[in-house]
Amino acid sequence: MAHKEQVLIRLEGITKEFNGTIAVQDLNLEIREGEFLCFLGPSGCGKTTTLRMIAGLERPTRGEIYLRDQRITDWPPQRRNIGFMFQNYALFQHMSVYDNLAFGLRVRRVPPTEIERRVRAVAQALELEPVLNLRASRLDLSTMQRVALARILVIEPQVLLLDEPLNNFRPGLRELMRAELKRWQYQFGRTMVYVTHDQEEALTLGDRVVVMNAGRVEQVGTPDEVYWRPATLFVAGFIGRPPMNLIPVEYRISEGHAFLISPDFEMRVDERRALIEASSFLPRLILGIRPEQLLIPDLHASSHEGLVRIPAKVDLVRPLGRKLILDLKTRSGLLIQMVTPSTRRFAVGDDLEIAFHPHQALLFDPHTGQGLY
Amino acid sequence: MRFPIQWKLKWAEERWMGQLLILPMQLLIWFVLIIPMLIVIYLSLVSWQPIMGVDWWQAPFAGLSNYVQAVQDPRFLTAMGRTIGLVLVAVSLEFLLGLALALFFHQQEFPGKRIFASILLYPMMLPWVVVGLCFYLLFLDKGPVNYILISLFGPSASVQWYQNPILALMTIALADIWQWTPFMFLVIYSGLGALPPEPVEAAMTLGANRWEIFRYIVFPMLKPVILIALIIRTLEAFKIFDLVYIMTGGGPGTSTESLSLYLYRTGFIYGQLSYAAAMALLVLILVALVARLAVRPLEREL
Repeated sequence: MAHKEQVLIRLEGITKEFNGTIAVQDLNLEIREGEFLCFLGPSGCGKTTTLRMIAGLERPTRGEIYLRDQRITDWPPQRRNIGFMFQNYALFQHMSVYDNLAFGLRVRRVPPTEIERRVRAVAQALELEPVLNLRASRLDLSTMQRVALARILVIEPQVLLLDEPLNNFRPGLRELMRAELKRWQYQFGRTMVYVTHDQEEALTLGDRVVVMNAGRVEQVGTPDEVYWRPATLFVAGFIGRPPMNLIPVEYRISEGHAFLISPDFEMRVDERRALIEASSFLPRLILGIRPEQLLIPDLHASSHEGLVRIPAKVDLVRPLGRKLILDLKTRSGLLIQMVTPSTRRFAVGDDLEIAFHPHQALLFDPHTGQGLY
Repeated sequence: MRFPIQWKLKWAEERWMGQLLILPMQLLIWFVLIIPMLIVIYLSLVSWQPIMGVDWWQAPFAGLSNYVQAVQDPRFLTAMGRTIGLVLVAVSLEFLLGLALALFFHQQEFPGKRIFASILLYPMMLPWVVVGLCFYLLFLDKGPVNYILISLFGPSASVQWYQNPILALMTIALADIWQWTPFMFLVIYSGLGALPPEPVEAAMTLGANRWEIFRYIVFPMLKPVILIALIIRTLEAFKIFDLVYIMTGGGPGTSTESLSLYLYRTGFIYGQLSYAAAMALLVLILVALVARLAVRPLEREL
């Protein structure tokens, strides 16, 4: 992917309203040549609407869309040469698979011999040759998906937009098709924009992930960034299973030192004072720590200088094969979840001391929801 | 609580019970459908007129002579040809107009759309007789149509609509089109509304223009609905009676007589019930064949 940094599609201040309801608000985004970009968010967050605007199926109420620096906001979908794969695949049920694949070329007035050649080539790549003469309505789901993809690939689009294409699959098959999709992207090397509400899908497939909520972009970043450095409280709570622990704390200065104080623990944060004091809602803050970043100090013999310790009681044990999820109650009644290897046995009611490295903890402003670092 | 009687039936009793339960419906079907049908078949095979002074079940057997007479009867055959022509012209125009209206209403947004759509449906709700009378009055020698023609093109532009068989048939077809285009509109419009939007959108992103989308995507998807509308309308139009009876009475002479009108006259004016029965059965066979052919592509579709 030599030209990965080249911007293919640019969205500038896109807003979409439907009868006064705002579906997408002031969205700015660059889609790079050759990347696999995932839109992730709960249903109704505006991700599909954004995709439809890129394809030209919806017109933005405000804002501009550029394709290779050319303004295409007013272009009809026919002119854009952008492939769109629908959630239900939208195959032409009354046609044969061959006619489905040839459709885009026929309406482009490509000569018949050329159509034949290109359809055969794509059909071969996606192993559709045995079904070329079948009616599209006679296919099973995974074949339908390949037909839908082939129908788009044959017109050699600038970019492929996929709207939750794996939604109709049962869980086992879903993982399989996910791997298949990723392979196709390597094989065909095309820019793909992929919409999903399944975080696992987004994190495994995407080169970059756009997390959306309520019509706004919460964060754009690599799967690692989105997972380990969530930019907002929403991202922190949305991504990860179990989600990040979000603990209310208070910021206080005493004897010249800066502290974060909760009824269960306190933590010195001298080196982050400047960042924290930029927050608008002091002294209240939210501390975020991933369940797998919590540890049980007495299991590790080495020194634990600087660990923040929290005494707690086991409330629920959920084994999950090689690891297990512990629900813990602190003295103040706070619920904390942690993920730990299942090498040790726990019983409900056990007293336990858990701890985390202070530099792994994230801080959020509870008022704006923004991360402080 | 225990039931005082055991409600369990033996196999034989169960059979009887079942028969008993469907008996009312059986009786209804026998008396409404099968017995009249058998009587018509019987009548077509005998030679019977009410004025013969013989009860109908004692009429002399005539074999297939009624049928032979029918296929040699020029009045019957021309009425048949005329009716088929009328059906073809009226139904195809109704279909084209209905389709155009439905597409227009489906694609365009304009104020008062819902009101216009319901106004469009009114002709369908009027009784045949009323529609027939309205159009009869419109095309009278001193009626509104001639009045407009005269005021536009002078006194020589007046047309005697009911004197010319072709023009008279045209007025009948026009009345039928006016009354039944809304039906086509209604069926096709709701069919359009029920189509999934994705295939159309997919065709758009693949580069198809409006005509190609209609021709290759919308029309094929709409085909079952269109076929059903055409079948219903054709069967219905084949029985056209009221409009002809009121507007031209089959005249001038018998030159606008439809099949139903000729059958009615044969049976009830000329009193030849056996002959009318034979002709009616011939028509039934023909219509059933046409309907069968029309339904076949639909079955393939489903």
